[in-house]
Amino acid sequence: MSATETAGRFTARYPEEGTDPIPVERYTSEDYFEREKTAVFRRKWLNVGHVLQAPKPGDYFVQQLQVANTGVLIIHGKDGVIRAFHNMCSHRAAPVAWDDHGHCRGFLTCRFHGWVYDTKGKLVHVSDAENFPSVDAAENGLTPIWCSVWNGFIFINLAKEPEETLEEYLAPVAEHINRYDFSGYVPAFSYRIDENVNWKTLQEAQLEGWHLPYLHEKTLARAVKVEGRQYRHAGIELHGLHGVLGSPPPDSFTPPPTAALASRFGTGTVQAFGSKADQGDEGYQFRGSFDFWHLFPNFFVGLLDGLFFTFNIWPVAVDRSIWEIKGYYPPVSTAGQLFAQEYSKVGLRDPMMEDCFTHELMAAQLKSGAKSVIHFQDEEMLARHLVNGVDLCVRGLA
Amino acid sequence: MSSPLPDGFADLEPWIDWAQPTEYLRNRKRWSATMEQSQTFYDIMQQRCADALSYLDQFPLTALDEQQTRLLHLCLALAEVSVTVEMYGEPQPKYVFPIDRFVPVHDNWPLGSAGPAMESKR
Repeated sequence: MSATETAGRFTARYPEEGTDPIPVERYTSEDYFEREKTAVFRRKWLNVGHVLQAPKPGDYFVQQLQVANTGVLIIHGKDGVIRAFHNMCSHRAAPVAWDDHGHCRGFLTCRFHGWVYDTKGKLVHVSDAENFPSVDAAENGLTPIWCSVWNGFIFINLAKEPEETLEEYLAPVAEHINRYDFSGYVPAFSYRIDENVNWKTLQEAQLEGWHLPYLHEKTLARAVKVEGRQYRHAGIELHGLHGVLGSPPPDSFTPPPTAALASRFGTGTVQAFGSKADQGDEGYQFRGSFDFWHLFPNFFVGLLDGLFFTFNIWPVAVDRSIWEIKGYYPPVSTAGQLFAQEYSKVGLRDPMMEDCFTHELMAAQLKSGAKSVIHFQDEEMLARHLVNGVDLCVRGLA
Repeated sequence: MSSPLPDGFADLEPWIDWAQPTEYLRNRKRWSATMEQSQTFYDIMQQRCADALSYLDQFPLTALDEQQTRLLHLCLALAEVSVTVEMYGEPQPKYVFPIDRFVPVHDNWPLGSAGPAMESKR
């Protein structure tokens, strides 16, 4: 089909998303950002990582959540249960875990004055207890945060009582994503980028592939099909507040020499990008050569044949965000496999470096007031869906 | 002084400064090289990388000695420099975020591991 024939298909399928321009204020207003914190980040389920970041009982990691003015301690209990707490001692609010990850033998001790907590968050030792006659240990455990695990992904909810369970929250996408076999992968890479950009602007570049032939002309463009110069997604689907993009494989793909070398020795990008994988009727149904799921409000899971990767985008301020990128590959035991993984990783990294550069240029200019709106086209439906979803939350409608 | 690389790979010694232990340092090396240096290193590694990997694949990744590890780092540098040669056609492309701000957290992970070391404390 030509680019003309495929124009307008998603707008026709999802008329409720509208076609209006989007007010710039939503990316620049401190007031709007404050409302997002309350209406989105303190209500919705948020991914904070993967169980592979705390694989054994006693393992823990800390996720800083500036958007909620807290640090979240995620700890693998001695009983095998993953729990989340505010990383804050009940004595005088010092952190109980001072490193961003680690292992304990069953207890965490505050470095400040030595109060001790077990892996269930229970306060088990008050130093100089006789001098704290009014402190009841049973009532002074770590402050818990709702926590639930899905396909190995750890989610928290900062509400006092979540409006829905994680299962209910992910119900619109679970039947699709659950078909993907997440077993057998291990953490292969992790990047962290601190950017001067609104969290939605940062995500929007990942919510459409239409920019690939333009911005990524020298890096990614060869791995996708373009008609004329227009990129047409293999599919875009909206599922509740969430959604998915399918990336169109090119009609033909001639791997460059280093890609061919990498594919001789291990899992690389050639098989991932070159064709649409068939996992059988029971398996995951790929929309494109790779599928990029957005789980509202700030989590992405990219599913490929032989690897998956995730993005977490954390607002810090209206104009500052942290982008965490994590890749999961089959375990590497040889130099050849490591080389293939390195090539694949670098090939994903450099286009994202191009994205980051662009984010900051846009964010700096949006503040100028020169434009009051921005525009999204049909192929940018998932970006529109994000800002619409956030706005529904802010207006109390979702 | 003993050879910096395993027997049979002495021909790669002139490029030993490409053998950097972390992604951060490999990227810095890529960005600081000239196009001519990049192309020369790329060309030699296109000829030799498969031999090097076949040789290294005889050993477990976590049991490589110092010389073998250097050879591995030369191979990984090919993955990095391939972007210069196969994609951008220049060592310092414009409009790209620097590695100093695109932090490879995994550079601290042990080689061949699945994630960071969860060292025991307290």
